[in-house]
Amino acid sequence: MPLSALRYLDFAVLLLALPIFIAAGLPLLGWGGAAFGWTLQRAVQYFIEKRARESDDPRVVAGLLTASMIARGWIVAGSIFVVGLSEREAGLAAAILSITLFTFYFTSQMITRPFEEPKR
Amino acid sequence: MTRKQKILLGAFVYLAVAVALYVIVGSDGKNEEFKPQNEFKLEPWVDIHIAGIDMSINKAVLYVFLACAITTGTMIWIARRMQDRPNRVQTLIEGAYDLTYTQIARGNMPSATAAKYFPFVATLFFFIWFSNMLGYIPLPTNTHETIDIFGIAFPAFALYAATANLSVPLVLTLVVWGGYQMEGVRRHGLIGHLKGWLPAGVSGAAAVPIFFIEVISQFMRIISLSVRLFANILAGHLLILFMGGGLAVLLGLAALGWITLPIAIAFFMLEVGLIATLQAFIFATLTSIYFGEASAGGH
Repeated sequence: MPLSALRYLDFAVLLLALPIFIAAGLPLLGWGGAAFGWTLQRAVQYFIEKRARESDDPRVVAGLLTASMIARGWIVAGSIFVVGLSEREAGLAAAILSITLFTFYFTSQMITRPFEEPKR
Repeated sequence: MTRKQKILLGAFVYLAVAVALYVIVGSDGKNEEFKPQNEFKLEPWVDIHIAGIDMSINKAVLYVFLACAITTGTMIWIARRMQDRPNRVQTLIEGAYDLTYTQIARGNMPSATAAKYFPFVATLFFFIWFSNMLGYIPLPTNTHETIDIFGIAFPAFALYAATANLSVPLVLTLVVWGGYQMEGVRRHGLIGHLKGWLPAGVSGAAAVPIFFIEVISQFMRIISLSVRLFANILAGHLLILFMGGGLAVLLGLAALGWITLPIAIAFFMLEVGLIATLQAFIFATLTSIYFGEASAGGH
């Protein structure tokens, strides 16, 4: 698998989880909540990292990246929380799927990061 | 708006959301079912008892195997791809080699000893580093709690590290401790090695109590070296667990989760970005210092 594809492994897992949710009779609201939260936080990451790359001030870059990480954590936790409030089982399913996505995302990041070209 | 006003506004919104969450969701009361200590419980997966010694395969053993496999696999994979014009990965590895050889080994041992023990010190550094890093990836290893999919009970996700179990740092420490004592005895003989424990210039009657203090200090190294690594990694995992939701679940207060989550993220960043590498560096550096001291003949 090319390394660039490995960076989006979490999305492949997210898509793969849908038929498993359907076949196993797991609450689809859980999949939807996790998918919404995960996709939104990845979009936030993309835009904030793009903004950080455009800045020459290391303090701005560090501030943006830290704020991005905290905001992304809240987005994922918030989506699980909201789903869990409406249906407890769905909240649990969303939490497990989100942690699974994080595992694949974090592992792929650790593998691909050294191969990335320095950001200009 | 000034920076101070922005910070105050951010803090106000942060607390206001927590209060609003508490008003809306309230409290479920203390959760008696959630036992945080179970996260670190080692249940035997494969029972093995040899001569009354429990050698069962459990979560900690799996993490040791994984760390070993990743360390050797990565190093062999990189070694086979070395080229004259280094790519980014090779540059990073050459940087890590330089750190372990120049800073850790050569910086603390005489050159002949450094050349001899560098592979050992570097292996320790990389094994501890990979083991620590592996500990921040949630893996399905919690057999105490399971997830039922298609009727199969899958283990729940957990954060764990081989180095978060005292046995692993202790074994590494005992190997280091025994190794440098043997190196000292081999170089200077038993009496010469023991004499080397005394600080330079100490002689006469003062040498006796100081020698006993040095004996205690030698044995204390086993505790300090192993507990430093174990306690740092375990403390990091506990902080991430409790701040990342454990405390909110335990107390049944969802609003608390809103407050503690950023703290968990900050701790996670600190652990991954600094503590994992720093602890591996400290362990390998102290190993080099001890070997250097033993081969040079004392303080």
